[in-house]
Amino acid sequence: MKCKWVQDRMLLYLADELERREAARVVSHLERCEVCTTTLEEFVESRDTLRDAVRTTAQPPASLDARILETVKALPRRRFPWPVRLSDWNTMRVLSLATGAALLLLVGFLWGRSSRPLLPANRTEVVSERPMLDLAALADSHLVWASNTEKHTPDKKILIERLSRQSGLRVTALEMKENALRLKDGAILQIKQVPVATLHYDWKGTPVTLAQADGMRLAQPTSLPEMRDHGRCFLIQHKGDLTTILWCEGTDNFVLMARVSPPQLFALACQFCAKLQKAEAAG
Amino acid sequence: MSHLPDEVLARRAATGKMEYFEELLARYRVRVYRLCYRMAGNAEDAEDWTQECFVRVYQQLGRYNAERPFTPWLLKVVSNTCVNLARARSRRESRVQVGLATEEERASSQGDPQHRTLANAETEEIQEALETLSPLVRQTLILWAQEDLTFRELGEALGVPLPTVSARVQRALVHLRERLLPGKKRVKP
Repeated sequence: MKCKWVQDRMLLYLADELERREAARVVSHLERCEVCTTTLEEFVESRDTLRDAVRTTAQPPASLDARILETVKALPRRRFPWPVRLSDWNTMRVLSLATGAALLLLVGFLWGRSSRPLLPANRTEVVSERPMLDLAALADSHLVWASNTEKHTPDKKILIERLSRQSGLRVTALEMKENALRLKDGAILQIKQVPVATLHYDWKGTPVTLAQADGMRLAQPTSLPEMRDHGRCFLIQHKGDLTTILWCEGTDNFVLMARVSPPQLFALACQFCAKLQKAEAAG
Repeated sequence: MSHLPDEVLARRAATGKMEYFEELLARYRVRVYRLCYRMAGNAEDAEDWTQECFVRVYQQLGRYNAERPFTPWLLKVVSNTCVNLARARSRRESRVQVGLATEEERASSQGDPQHRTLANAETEEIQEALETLSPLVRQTLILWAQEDLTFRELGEALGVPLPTVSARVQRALVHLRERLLPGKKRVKP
């Protein structure tokens, strides 16, 4: 092996950015080439010294921001192309949340039909008594919406990628087309520094997580009306036909959204809390 | 707004909402200024170049794909703008004045011991050495040093292959070493 081949890759080798096979060739050569070993040592020394020397800690003057903004604002106002406007994050979020909300509508409907009425006195329900949730019908439309052209044979990876892209979140909703879903648990995740409430389901023994909404609305709960149950505070927002309910359980925050009335969603949240209490007591 | 990621801010700023662009400006002003400072070689030009960079960023936000990370995209716009400005200036002038920059940089970095030792004593010499590099090689070296990027990230930001990026930085380091550390044995890559 020629020394030039090795020396051409020394910076990449030092930065640990060579492919494993190439790195092994460099190491092998260095073990028997004194010239290249010396060159490598010189590179280590000069690389760090020069890098530090090139770096600057100069600070821009405070007036620069105003100057830049003034210039930008004076630019002729231009209309941005349609794709930009249509891909606005708000639009994507609404689409994503609408789908999640539609799913929850069915969850709430089925649950409300088969479980106890609003604010049950005995809230320590047994998990095994919870009904099996039949989401087959809605799941089919969900898949059709999400997979679009892959109507008949939706590819799981494409579906996940599309949902993630459209929601701006790492969506892990999977396998919603069977009627063997069982609600297991809820949690809050930090995704991109944003709290995301999730519901965990069991699907044929396989854990499935459905991201319900992004937690950005958690940042502004003060304007929302409160509802209380057993001392627990629920914050409810109702816009149009979409209801959002937020609450804290210990250090966790939860958010549920659905196209149902606030009392209906409140009942669902109470049941969900009861399930958590039951799980805590059992754990 | 402060909790929103850059990509979201950029997408909203692209719809013409100035408040989101202001947030992006606040987040990146120092980084862009420092890149411009090293490329321009003096504080006065650095301010003008920083302004030009942000104007270009604003004008090109409509082409930004928000599914990709924002920082590499911004660095690419800044890099292209700086290289173009450097080329235009080199056509107008034969030499860059660095006196103003030395004073301003010294004043702004008094609290940084590392900077005092590495830069203050050698600022003019370093700047002059940088000026002898071609704009492309200089910009690659400055991005690598200032932004602490990996070569892969650097390649992505500049839109060039990994070996090209590595070769540029290597060439620049050898050149600077010969000028700034003449007592050292020359490295022959």
